[in-house]
Formats: sequence, C-alpha cells, structure tokens
Amino acid sequence: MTLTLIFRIGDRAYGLDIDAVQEIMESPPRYPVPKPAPFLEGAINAHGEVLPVIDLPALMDVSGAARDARLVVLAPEFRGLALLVSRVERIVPLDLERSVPDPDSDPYCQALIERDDSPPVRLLDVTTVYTQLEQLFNDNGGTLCP
Amino acid sequence: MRVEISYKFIVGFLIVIAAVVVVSLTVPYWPVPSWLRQPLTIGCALLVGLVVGALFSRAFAKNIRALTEAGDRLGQGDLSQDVQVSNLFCDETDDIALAMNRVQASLRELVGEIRGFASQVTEASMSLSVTAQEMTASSHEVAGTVDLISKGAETQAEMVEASNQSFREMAVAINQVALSAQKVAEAAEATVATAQRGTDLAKGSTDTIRQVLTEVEGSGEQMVSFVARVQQIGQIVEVINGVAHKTNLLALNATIEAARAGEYGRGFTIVAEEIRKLADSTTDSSGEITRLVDGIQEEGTQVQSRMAQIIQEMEAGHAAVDRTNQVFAEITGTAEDTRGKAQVISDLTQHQIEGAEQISRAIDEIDKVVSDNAAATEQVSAATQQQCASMEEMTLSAKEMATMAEELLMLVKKFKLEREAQD
Repeated sequence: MTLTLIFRIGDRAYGLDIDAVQEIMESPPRYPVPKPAPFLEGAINAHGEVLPVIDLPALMDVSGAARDARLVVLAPEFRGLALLVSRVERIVPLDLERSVPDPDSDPYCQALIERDDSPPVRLLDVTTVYTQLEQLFNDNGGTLCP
Repeated sequence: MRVEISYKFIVGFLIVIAAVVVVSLTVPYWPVPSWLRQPLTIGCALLVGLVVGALFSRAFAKNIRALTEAGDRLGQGDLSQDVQVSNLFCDETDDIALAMNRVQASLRELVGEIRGFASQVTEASMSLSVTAQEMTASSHEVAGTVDLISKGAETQAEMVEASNQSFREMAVAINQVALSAQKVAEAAEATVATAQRGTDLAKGSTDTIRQVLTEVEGSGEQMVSFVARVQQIGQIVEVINGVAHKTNLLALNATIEAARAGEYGRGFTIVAEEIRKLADSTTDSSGEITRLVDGIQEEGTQVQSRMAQIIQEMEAGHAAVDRTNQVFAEITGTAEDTRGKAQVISDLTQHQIEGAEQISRAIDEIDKVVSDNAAATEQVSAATQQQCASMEEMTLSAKEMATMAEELLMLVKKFKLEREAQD
C-alpha cells in the first residue's frame, strides 16, 4: 500500500506518491515573474527557496477548472515545483497492484488505480510534466528555466 | 148786473108800453095833421114794439144758438172751444154756458188724461212687448245655456267620478309610499345597527391588528437579533472551519512528514490520519453548521421579508379597517339620515293620507253638489222652458195690450181738445 495524495484537475482525480511531495502550502504569497507563460503562475518563497508555480490545469489544457488555494510543493528530488491544482483532497493508501489500463490514454496518467470505495485514480506522471515543461521551455527559447 | 129773462121780458113790455104812452102824449105837439096823429101813434107803438121785440128775440136767439152749437160740438167730441154768450146783463143762458164750459173743461181734462194714459199704456205696452221679446230671446239663450250647463254638469259629474277614481288610486299609492317609507326606515335602522356592529367589529379588528402588529414588530426585532446571532454563529463556524482547514493541512503535511520519517513515523502517520479525520469531521460539521446557518439566515431573511410584507399587509389591513370604520361611520350617518328622511316621508304621507281623506270627503261632497246641480239644472231647464212659454204669452198679451191701448187712443182722439187741433 502506498500513501498517495489525491487531488483533482478539473473533475478528474489524480494521485501523487507522497514521497514525491515536500509539503502542502496554504496560499503562500505569490510573486509575479517577467514574461510569464500561460501555465506559469508566478513564484513563491518556500522556506527561503524560490519555486515556480505551475498551473497544472492550464498545462494539461483543462479549461474551466477551479484552482485550489493550496499548492502541492514537490520534493527537491523532483526539482521543487509548486503545483497549482483544482483541489487538494486527502492522503489515502493505494494498492498500486490494482492498476487498470487507461481508456482515455491520458499522457499525464502513469497508471489508473482502482479503489474500493471511490472511482479509480490516475497516478500523475511527473516525468511527462517535466518533459512537457522542458519542451515548452525549449519552444520559448529557454527563457523559463528553474 | 144780473137780470133774469123773465124780468127782461117784463122790462121789454114796459119799454113798449112806455114808448106808446110817450108817443101818444107827445103826438098833439107834433106838427102833423090831427088825423094823422092816431095812426102815427099806432105806427110808432108798433115800431117801438117791433124794434124792442126784434132786439130781444135776436139777443135771446143768438145765445140759444150759441148754446145749441156748443152742445152740438160737445156731442161731436169737440172740446176745443168754450161756449160764449153775449149778454148786456147776465141771465140763465150765462149759467148754462158756464155749466157747459165746466162740463167741457172736465171732459177735456178727463180726455186729456185718458189720452195721456193711453199713450203711456201704448208706449209701455210697446216697450213691454219689446222687453218681453228680448226676455223671450234671453230665456231661449238661458235655456240653451242651461242645456250647456246641464251637459257640463254631466261632464263635471263624470270628471268628478274620474277624479275620485284617480284619487282613490293616489290614496292607495300614498299608502304604498307610506309602507315603503316605513320599510325604508326599518331597513335604515337595521343598517344603522349593522353598521354599528360593523364599527364595533372594525374597532375590535383595529385593536387586534394593532396588537398583532406590535407583536409582529417585536417578533421582527427578535428575528433581526436572532439572525444577527446566527450570523455570529456563522462567523464562529468560519473560524472553526478555518481551524479545521488548517488542521487538515497540518494533518496532510504531518502525514507527508511521517512518511518521510519512514518506519519511525508510522505511528505518527496514524495520529495524523486521526487528526485529518477529526479535521474532516470538523469541516463536515462546520459545513453542516454553515449550511444550517445559511439556511437559517436565508429563512430568517425570508421570515424578515415575509414579516415586512405581513407588516405592510397588516398596515394595509389597518388602513383598510380604518377606511372600513370610516365607511361604516358614513353608512351609519347615511342610514340615520335615510331613517330621518324616511320618517319625514312617513309623517308627510301620514299627513297626505289625512289630507287625502279630507279631499275624498270633499270630492264626495262635490259629487253630491254636482248631482244636486244636475238636478237643479234640470229644474232650471224646465223652469226656463216654462218661463219661455210664459214670456211668449206675455209678449202676445203685451201686443194685445198695445193694440187695445191704440184702439183706446183712437177712441180718445175723437175728442178735440185744442183749438189748433181743430185747425
């Protein structure tokens, strides 16, 4: 069983192993950055470190989604991004063995995990997020670099 | 000097004898032959006798003739001349003439008077005749007029009957009016009573409404205060919610930290989970409370608006009841006015009924009078016709009388009264 942080992007439930999570921050002061990309929601000061805030719904092209005041700060080994999601829900233990194929072929979905009491959860593929970010950085001429 | 005829004859004889004696005595002294003396004496005696006799007889005959002529004239009705005898000495002929003149004067006076009377009678009878004719004409006119009056009296009787009929109907109508007025008065009285009850009820309603209004206003204030308190509860719940939110965040982060601590943090993970559950439970409860508070606030707002509406409606009701009260007061006033007027009408109709009875009696009397008039008119008509007949008879009599008076006048005209009439 793996403790997984459940959050929502739009109406879809995503999960993230809490080993990848540094902490949840409640509406920290957000600082604007020059020439922002649509998915870059400024930067925050997390215990002395400046972290970029990535708007996941915008990055995933999910329109009309809500934004939670809480930010999911990734662990330093995951390059310390602050993710803006639709809603941070809770931490639940997930049985990663109960993986089922994703009928939607979501590129951000590492695996679709079934649950007993709730609809299945998509494990967020952080690598895809980085890949996407890097591709966008490169497209933009590398101006946005953490 | 009066000398009677017998004495006149004696004087005449004496004169003749005296003349003869004188002649016989004086003859011897006459320058005549003696032989002539005797015949002369005789002749003188005869002459004197003749002369004296002739004088006497002439005078006497003249008077007699005058008397005879006067008698003749009297016999013929000529009363215009007096008898005149001429005597040197008065005698019996003068007496006769005097007596005849007196007779003539009496007759003249009598005839004059008769003639005057006859003329007057003629004139009077003429005018009587004319008057009688006029009166006949007038009587005819009167008869015609009386006929008209008779017809008029019939018409009058019919009209009186019609008037009586109309009047009876009018009396019935007046009675109905009186009854209606009585009913109106009763209805007005009932209206006054009802309006009074209505006024009382309206006053009671006004009081109740005022009381309820006060209570509702008090309830409204309580409601406002209640809603304010509920809002405070909401604020507190917000705080609790915030705390729960933070607790949830802390629990999340504690779970993350405990996971990071590995095996050592396992117990803390359970505690953090418990804390998270508590926080979730708190969040659920506070959300429940928030929903309740929201519901209460919403309902409170609704209640407040409803109360404001109720207050408005009650004020409108209050105003309506006030107006109703006013209307009841007006109704009462109008009904009392109506009652008074109906009473006046009732009194008036009572007077009218009395007057109508008087008029009815008067019409009955008029009816009697008209009937009497009709009867009297018929009598007058009959009397007028009799009068007409009498007047015609009177006209005839007057004409006859005029004729008789004319005849009398003709008779009397045979007497000549004036000398001029003779000429």
